[in-house]
Amino acid sequence: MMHFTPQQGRDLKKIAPLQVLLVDDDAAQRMLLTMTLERAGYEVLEAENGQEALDVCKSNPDIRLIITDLSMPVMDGFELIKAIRADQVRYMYLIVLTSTEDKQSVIRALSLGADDFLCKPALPEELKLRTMSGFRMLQMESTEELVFSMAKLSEYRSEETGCHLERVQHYTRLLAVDLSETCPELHLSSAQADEISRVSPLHDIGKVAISDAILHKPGRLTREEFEEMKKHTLIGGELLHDIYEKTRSHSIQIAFEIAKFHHEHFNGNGYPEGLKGDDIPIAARIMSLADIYDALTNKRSYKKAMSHDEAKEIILVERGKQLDPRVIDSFLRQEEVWQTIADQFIAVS
Amino acid sequence: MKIASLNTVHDFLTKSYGLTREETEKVLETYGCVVTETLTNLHKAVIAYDNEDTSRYAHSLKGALLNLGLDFHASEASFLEKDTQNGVKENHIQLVEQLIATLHNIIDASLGQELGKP
Repeated sequence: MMHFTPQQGRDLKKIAPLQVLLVDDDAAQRMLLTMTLERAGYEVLEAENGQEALDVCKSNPDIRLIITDLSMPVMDGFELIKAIRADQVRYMYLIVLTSTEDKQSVIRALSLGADDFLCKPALPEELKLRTMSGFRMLQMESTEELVFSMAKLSEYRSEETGCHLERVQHYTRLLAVDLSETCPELHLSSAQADEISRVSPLHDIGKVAISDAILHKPGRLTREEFEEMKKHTLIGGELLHDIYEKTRSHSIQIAFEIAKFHHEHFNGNGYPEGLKGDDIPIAARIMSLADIYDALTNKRSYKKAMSHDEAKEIILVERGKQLDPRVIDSFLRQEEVWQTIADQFIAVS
Repeated sequence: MKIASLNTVHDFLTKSYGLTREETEKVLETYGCVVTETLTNLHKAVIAYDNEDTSRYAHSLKGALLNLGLDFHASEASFLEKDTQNGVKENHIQLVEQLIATLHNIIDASLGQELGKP
């Protein structure tokens, strides 16, 4: 069992304030904004022009949010935006300072990659709200990294073929986007379609609690072993439900639906709850087909990989039984793209 | 013509930014220096009929005046910024000198010293 030893000299109770880089050649403007931001609890770093800003970013890699004026000597705000977007490893949230009537500059800055803009005078309430909003966006990106890392951990343990999560993410996106456009009765928006795809890697997170003996058994599982394996849906669901309780994140709610119900069958013969038809969350119905297709078309320790056509035949047999007919129709509308994805993300064993 | 006053600016900074008296005075002092320098550069540029520099300094002045709550004078700076792009004219010089005269009393008061008028 691993024991975690905190690094010596590190006080874990102190959390470093979030850093904001303020870029403006006007010292008085920087002073006003710094006062507001520091009062709101941020640590403010300053630069007088774009070039200085880049230097500050290099020596302070934790900077994730920049507020910049556009008109500056040496390097203006437009060039700064371009330079940051061209070279960023982690996403930087960029807010530009502008005057109300300068719409052209705003459009130019946004098209170069700025995220938001603030009109002068940048009054404290608006400045604080837009900065908070920026950090919220950055947190979502971090959450997504976390989601994928969690999912990758469970993938390594279950020894799924490489790129399974990537393929499944693409398949679910194809299905979800197509269904949002073709089946209005599903009430699936394009934003939800995107969410389903983003959290799909978490579908088997519950497998982290399944024993190695069962998870890695090369042959067919016994009845008892299969009952044990089925628990991964409940475990994954419980785990994600707990996270949802704390975060109230809509994405995590969808992840919960996928993890818990992706083995339900359209005809009610699935598990863990025997849900039927439209009672099964659409995210889970989408995940079901994606997971089945990927399992069929990739090698496992107990079977060879099937061709696309062989997998398609099996999927068609399950119309109305294991799988929702509308989801199957969506798959059929786009099967060439599925084949391309399957070919592109080939497992390297 | 609106006359800018130090009290106007003081009130704006205190109410809009929630600054303490000490912070307001610090901000005013800094702005006093910034606006002085910008006005000096703006005047030099406009009397040299340098439209590029005039527009640039007018843009800087506009930003500073907006932050001080001097919207009317900011709009004058904005007019200078745009209108001088096609060439400096006599009315632009007059407007700059008018701005200097109008803002003079704020700058004097914020810096606590006399400044010579152009």
